[in-house]
Amino acid sequence: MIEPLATQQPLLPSRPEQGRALLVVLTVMAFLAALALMFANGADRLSDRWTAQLTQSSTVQLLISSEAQRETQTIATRDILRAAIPEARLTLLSREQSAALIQPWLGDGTLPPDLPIPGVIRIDSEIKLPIETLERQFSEASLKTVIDDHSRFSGQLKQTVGRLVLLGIGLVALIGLAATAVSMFATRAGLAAQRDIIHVLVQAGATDGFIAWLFVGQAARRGLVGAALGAGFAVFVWIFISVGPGQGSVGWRGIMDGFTDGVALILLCTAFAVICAIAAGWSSLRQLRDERRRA
Amino acid sequence: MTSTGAPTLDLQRIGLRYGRGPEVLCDVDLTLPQGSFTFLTGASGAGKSSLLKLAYLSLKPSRGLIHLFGQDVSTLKSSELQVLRRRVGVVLQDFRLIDHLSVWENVALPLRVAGRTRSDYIPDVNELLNWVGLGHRRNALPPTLSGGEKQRCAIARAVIAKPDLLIADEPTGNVDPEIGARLLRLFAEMNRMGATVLIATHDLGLIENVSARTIHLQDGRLSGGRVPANKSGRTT
Repeated sequence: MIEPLATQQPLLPSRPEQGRALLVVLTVMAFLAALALMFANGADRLSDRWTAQLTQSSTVQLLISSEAQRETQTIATRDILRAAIPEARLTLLSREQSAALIQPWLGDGTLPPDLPIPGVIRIDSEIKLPIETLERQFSEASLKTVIDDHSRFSGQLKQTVGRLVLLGIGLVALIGLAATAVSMFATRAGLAAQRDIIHVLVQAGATDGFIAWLFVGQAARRGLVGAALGAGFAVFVWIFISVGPGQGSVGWRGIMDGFTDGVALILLCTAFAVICAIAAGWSSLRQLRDERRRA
Repeated sequence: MTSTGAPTLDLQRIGLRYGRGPEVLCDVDLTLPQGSFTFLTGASGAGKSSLLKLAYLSLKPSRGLIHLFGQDVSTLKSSELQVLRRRVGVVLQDFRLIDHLSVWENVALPLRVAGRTRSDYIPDVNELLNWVGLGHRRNALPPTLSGGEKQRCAIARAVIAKPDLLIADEPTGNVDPEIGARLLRLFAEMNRMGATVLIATHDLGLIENVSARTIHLQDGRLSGGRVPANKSGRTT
């Protein structure tokens, strides 16, 4: 005796030619969303790394009253710093090293020998500088100093990166909106193309929920596959960029985080499938209700 | 179940028009008592298919009332209508089989839609397929079936859930006389088990083989729609 097929066949046909085109669209959208998400994550991570580097390094500019006083005043400044932050590493820059720092602004011609070039002391410290205390002590010692802990630059950096992250989130949201519209359009097209099957199902007693669920399952599967493919391509591109030339302190290397990025991409794929499924369910229920009203 | 004593189907002063066209059904009164067997005859274009569509709730009338299993269908919600539809088996002229599903899956469709477990209905589907002579074609797809095989598949799908009301539009139009007689025996058996049967047909031979009530539709008007008090219309 010939037995029926062991597994139930899906009630909706797969329609491979339309399914493939739709899958390509979903894959491209998921690719863009994944890239936007990874760029936002990466920029945030890079900003954190740069900010950490900046906060560990500060400089004290000493406004020398005369060249004759340079060494005395520099040593006095260093002693105050050493007493206030004994664990810090202090580097005293020579007049030539200090002059080299201002060369980009004054050109590479020979600087006048009487130009009052400030003394510079670089501080490397993992703890935050007690700036107010230091300023008071420098003032008491009649030393004219400017302490730069890079807080202004790191503040601007954080603000810029914050905007980039918002832009990335906005892009992901926009792509999610586009995925919703695509899924709704595909569901409506599917309902129209499979009108005969829907009619048979309705006649057999299928409720709107039963029929909508068929489209939900189809859209969720398609959304998940498209998202996985798109995310996979995005990871490939991200790795390609990360290992390419142009590395160094401002390069890409090190801004990937396998675990965090992996979790973010899994969440993105899941969200993509859920968005497609909800859009398909809502759209099919609404379409079925509208058709019943017109009947 | 049908409310006690209420007819399976009761159409009262039904009018039906498509769009702004003329009425294709006019003041139709039809009562199908529980367990009755009724033939609907009429020339092509007389409105037989439209009347059947109203009976299986595929169309809403322009006017008049439809009571199915004792319930006024105009007052029912969509989900309640679907529960009623599960009690109605329909065989259409164009079969409406689902092309990508096998014969077996097509026949099992009403049970699947009703949420029955597959393992529970496998024997029922196999038995019915053997009865209608499609046991050897259970894994075939509808496009590979002959017209007669499609018709038998559609009939099997209509009766698999043991409906309380069975509606068929020209059910023996594409099959040879031997298969036609066999299918008619299936309808009669369903009727003996309590189902109400309404068959639209041109086949006078079919009507002569069964002792049943016949109603006639002409130019959208029905004659013999009301049942005489002493005639149930059940097959004998």
